[in-house]
Amino acid sequence: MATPTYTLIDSVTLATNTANVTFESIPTDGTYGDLVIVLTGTMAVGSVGHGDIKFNYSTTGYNVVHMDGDGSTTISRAYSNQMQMRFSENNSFSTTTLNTTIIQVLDYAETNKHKSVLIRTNRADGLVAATAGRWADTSAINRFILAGDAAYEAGTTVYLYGIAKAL
Amino acid sequence: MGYQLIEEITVGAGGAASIEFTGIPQDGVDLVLKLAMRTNRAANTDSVKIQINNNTGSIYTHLRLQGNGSSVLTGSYTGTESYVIVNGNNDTANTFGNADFLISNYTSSNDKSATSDAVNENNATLAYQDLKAHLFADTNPVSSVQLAPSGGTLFLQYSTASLYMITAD
Repeated sequence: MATPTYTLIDSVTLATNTANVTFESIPTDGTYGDLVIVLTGTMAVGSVGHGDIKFNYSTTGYNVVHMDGDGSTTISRAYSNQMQMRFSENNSFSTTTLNTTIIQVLDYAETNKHKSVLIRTNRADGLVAATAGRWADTSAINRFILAGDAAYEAGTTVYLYGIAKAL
Repeated sequence: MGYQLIEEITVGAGGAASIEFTGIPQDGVDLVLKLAMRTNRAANTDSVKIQINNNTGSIYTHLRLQGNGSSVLTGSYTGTESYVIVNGNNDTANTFGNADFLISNYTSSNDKSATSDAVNENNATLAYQDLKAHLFADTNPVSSVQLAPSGGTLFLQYSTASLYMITAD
């Protein structure tokens, strides 16, 4: 049997609306090289709202380039030194239609580089977007918060996977 | 555990009018369909029609964000199947379009949210990159996936479709 290299680290299915979905104690001992976060759910907003992530609970150093389409208009924007890494320029979440967001964090445990992040966020009734991000911090990532303009609704799922770089 | 191959299908000589994955195990979290495909459509690009559970209703919605080497566009769709871009038979010889299609929480009793990234490989300015956000209004667990060419009539030899299951153990 092949050695598994894409491994579930942790997961949560929200039992109640939750404003800050946290994952802690992520291994930084070299077991995994990259992280993949898969979030599927809705947000308790009046209409639509943004989702975002903060690594190690830091509120500084987030740089992004967004590329969005909403079915009518395309947009691309770049931001530097933000307080969080938003998934997209436009609102990614609603209370009515499922969003699937995939966040890839490359070399998350390295202490010799800023952290490169690739995000795809999708809501079939309003947004398809890709974001390239950089967290300007050389710290190993051992925790993160998923948050946004409002609480993620009950039933939202988040799966955190680690990808090994060596067998 | 982790990322498990369920089945890989490679198209043989003579091509294939359709491809189907059936009996999908129900103990996973997400499904990932990876395609490397070329059809006999006499054009640059074709699309693969995707249906789940043999559901032919108008339940498939997507938003797309697409670049083609000279412009970018976005659009929406609701209809009886979903689509990802692959190669047509006027694209550079021996090249295949690639697509990655993830269906999240595929065993749930909710509608199915999915995301796809696809490229049309062509040694010319005209080549497509296609990002989509999908929603399938089908609350049944996904137990089968049906694929067919959209503009052409056959997937050509050496096209491959691989279905993976991401598990929680």
